[in-house]
Amino acid sequence: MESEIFTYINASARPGTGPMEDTRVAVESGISVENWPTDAQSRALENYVALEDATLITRLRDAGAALKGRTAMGELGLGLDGDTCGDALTKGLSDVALKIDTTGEARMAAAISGCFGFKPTYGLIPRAGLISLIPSMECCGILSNSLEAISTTTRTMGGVDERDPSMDPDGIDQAMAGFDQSGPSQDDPLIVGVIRDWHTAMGLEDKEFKAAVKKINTAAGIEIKTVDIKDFSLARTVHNIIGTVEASSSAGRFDSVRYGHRTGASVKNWNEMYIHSRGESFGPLVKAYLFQGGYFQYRDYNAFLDACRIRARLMASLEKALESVDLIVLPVAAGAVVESEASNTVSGFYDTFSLTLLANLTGNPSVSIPGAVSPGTTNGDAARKALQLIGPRFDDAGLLARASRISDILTGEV
Amino acid sequence: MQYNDRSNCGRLGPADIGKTVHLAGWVDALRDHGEVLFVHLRDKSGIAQLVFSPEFAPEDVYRQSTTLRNEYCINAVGRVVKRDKGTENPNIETGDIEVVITEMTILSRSKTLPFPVSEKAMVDNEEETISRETVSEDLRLQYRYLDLRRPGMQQFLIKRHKINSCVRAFLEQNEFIEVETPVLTRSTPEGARDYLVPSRVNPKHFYALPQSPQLFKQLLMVAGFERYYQITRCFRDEDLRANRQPEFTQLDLEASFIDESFIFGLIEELLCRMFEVGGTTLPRPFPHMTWQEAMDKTGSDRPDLRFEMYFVEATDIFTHTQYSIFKQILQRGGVIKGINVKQASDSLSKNVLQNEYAKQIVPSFGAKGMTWMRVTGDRLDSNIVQFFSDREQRVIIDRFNAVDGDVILIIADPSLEVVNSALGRLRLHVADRLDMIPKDLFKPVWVTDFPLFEYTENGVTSSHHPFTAPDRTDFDPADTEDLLSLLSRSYDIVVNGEELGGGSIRIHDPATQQKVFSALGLSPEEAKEKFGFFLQALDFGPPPHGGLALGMDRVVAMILKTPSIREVTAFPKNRSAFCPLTEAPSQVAQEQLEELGLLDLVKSEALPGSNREQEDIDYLSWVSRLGFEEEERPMIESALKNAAQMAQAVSGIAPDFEPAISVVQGQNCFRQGTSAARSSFVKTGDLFKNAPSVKGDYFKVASILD
Repeated sequence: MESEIFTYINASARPGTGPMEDTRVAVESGISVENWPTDAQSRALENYVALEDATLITRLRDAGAALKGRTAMGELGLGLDGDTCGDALTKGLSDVALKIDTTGEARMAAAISGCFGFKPTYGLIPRAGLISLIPSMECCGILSNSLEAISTTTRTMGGVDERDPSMDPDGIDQAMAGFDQSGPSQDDPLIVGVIRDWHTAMGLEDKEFKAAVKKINTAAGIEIKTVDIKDFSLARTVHNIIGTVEASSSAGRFDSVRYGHRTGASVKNWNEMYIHSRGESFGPLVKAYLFQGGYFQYRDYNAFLDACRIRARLMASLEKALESVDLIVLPVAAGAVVESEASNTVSGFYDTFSLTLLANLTGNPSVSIPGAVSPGTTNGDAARKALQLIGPRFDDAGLLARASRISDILTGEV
Repeated sequence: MQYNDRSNCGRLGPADIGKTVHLAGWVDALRDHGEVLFVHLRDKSGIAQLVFSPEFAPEDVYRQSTTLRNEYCINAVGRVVKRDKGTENPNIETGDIEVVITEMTILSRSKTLPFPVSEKAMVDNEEETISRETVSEDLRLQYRYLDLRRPGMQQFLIKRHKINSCVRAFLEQNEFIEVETPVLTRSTPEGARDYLVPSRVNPKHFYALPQSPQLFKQLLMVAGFERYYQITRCFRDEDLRANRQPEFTQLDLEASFIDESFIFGLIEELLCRMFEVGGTTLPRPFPHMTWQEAMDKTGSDRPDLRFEMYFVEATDIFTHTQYSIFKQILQRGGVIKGINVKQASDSLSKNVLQNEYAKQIVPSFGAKGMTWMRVTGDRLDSNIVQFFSDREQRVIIDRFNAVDGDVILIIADPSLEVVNSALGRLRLHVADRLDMIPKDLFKPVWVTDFPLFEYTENGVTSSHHPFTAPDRTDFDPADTEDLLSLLSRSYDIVVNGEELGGGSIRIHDPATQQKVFSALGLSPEEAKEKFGFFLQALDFGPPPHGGLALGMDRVVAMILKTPSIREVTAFPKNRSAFCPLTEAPSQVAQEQLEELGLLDLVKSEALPGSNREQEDIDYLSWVSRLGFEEEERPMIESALKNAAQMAQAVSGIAPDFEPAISVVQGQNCFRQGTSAARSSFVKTGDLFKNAPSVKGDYFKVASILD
């Protein structure tokens, strides 16, 4: 069974000593672990073996975690085709799974397999050693059946790293202090925000979500408040434009010179070598994604700048909304969720992740709380039953504590 | 302080000891010895060491000196003294003296430099702090004014100026006059792509920037100036190649009542004088080689004569061969040629010959394969030699003059062009690899007697340009065979395998010109449409004339032995034809386009049904260096359609916010330590562990140039 879930099993996995000594961690192949195959499931990194640990891996080792092996993932982290990180948890093969979240992958994978998925604040956990396509949005996501384990893992991996130029030292101090403090208690008043008309502009269904919110509202001390996020329905387009441009640019490193697949075709010069090697390296979803990025880079760069302006307003708007509420709640999905590779187009991909990508655009922490999942549940149903909470940046500890409270309410344990 | 009594840093010497001097320039380097501060002050002439010490400098001057940083521009007065024994600096001309400063003004300050400017170490035995090669070229081009502050770069431009002066003086002496010709001119569809300039006054009409002043200089001959020259900028919109610039400088010249020998003599003398500026004496007289001989011997019309290893014709040896590959090639009218790499069997192992050359390198030169033979004990040794008869083996050894230790490389192909081109590149590759090319040797050669026409599927085309005179005028413009047998009166000057210039004797007879156009398939009407103004001039008594153009950037780069013409160009473009300094080319305002009538032009000229999407995919595939299979086209097409819709959706509704590139402000990260160090992965070799192809200490890639 292990070999169906792990693409690589660490034969010498053994726990050390420290705060994570009882924790087995599954790591997807987009996160560098020294001497492990690290191909991010792409031919562009065929046979690539990482030369050194990602910073966050070093920190996990130092805290005593046992690194179990590699789970399968979507190519270069885009989507969930063939993903097995949730299985590693539900089959009891690991306690925590790490999965890069650039569009909502970690939260969605968690929702589908019935566990918690957390995307920390952008800039809290170092990105050095992570391989994905969208540098300005990528975060190391954490999946587990236990919010406490997620909290410990986040705290272990967080902190300034000189190898990551996009960290925020002041924010990190605040976030790490949050883990040290006792945090919000179960009895504190809690204001939960719901985005006004989030479903109508996107043509989505909100029946199940309404029921869940109603249930949350019955609990003592919780108030529901409607907030406005300007252009919420544009977030998807904005993410698509910015994401593809960053992907087209960052995938430039996959040039078949230093690593990865080199074409076997006879080529006259290096331009032909690039064109063939890269053309053979990427699957259809990534390739279409890169072509879109090329379009915005070379044919309509103003669209990229406009998207960045709208992103700036989304950030400001969400920050303002989070001044009046403690967190915002949204479903993990509300419309179509692509279940198979056959329909794996860029727009199908964005249909699936249309509600999770806001937190990636704005860098806020977000945690998904699973709904009831039984063996017969389809991925789509599981995702539509799950909720995600979005909290203020660098209050990761507070968000996880509140998630625990809301999860208890939803499962009737309060 | 005033500047009229200023001395030059680099010209101070022992004769100045005891004098008070006034200097101005830039802080090249600093060395703080606690109490005493040493400063290298640099101006155009060189470097002098300044000493700031509390003992001699007034307190405020000394205090101010401690705020000096690299590349501050300062003014200083001090006394020249002899340096203490043992503290002399042989790295600089003025290393025996130093200047003890008593007055100093900071004229302007400098920010932290993007790369070091200083080239001279402050003390003996210290390594040079920076080599130009370690700084990214785009960064150097972006801060070109700092890059040009470096003495090495200044020397290049100063020498280039001296070469120009030498050219002007020499041509003046020979009664040439410099005449300027227009830069805004007419587009001629011949040759490379033109740079176009839209005309506002004549909407929808365009000027072209000249690829050369060819027709104008011929018109100057018609006008009777007899001897003209110009050092002028020319423009070609060509694809990326190393050592090419979209704009380049030519020495263009033309003379009347002359023949080839005049040009040969003039240019030989001129080039010799130009190379003397760089301290190189060219061997004279320059030899001549016909185009045919150059092709036969080296497979190239730009023969590199610094080494021999000339081609050996071997087709006839194999007329009756049993070796099936050669047999088939010969049945298809093919050619077999080879080279003898003398005494190379130690450096060219069987493995290198078979796995590198035969399987990879030669196929990348366009030939299907290569046959190799090593000579040992007077016999041939190879993976295929058993297919050759004893007679064939013996004749091969004889024909190639082979002795023990030699390696014979043979290329066979149905096409002579393929054999010449592949074997020619192989000859250069092997010579380079085995260090057979002597350094600092210059081998000029005139290549002459080019074919006037080249064969194409649609008839013939000019090898040079249609104004080049043929060697005879009695040809039949309709007889392709006759046309292909014509030689032209053109000549190229080639040095070390590089074409530095070329030219020809021109046609001055309208009837011959008409015949050449007719041979090229141009009717009198079409010729008139394209070159009417010029043909008309030929009807008014043109003198016999001819000329030549030298690519000055290349000549100067060769004289100064720089790796690239960008080193001898003050403000060059990078390899993407982009200027990192000014960020040209740039987008322009909608209004500018409108004023030029260009918006309208695109609309009205776009053909109905033209497939912009198809173009988009192929264009994006190229600029992204991302290939695709035909079956992927519909999927990509639909993704691009989707992208266009998204662009539409965000257009015009974005708020007036600063675009958010990231949610976290990027931080500058500085690596620990002060000196550049190799990554430990380089030392251990691990860096190459994941590489698809490695050779020695390098990542191996397909060849960079075509």
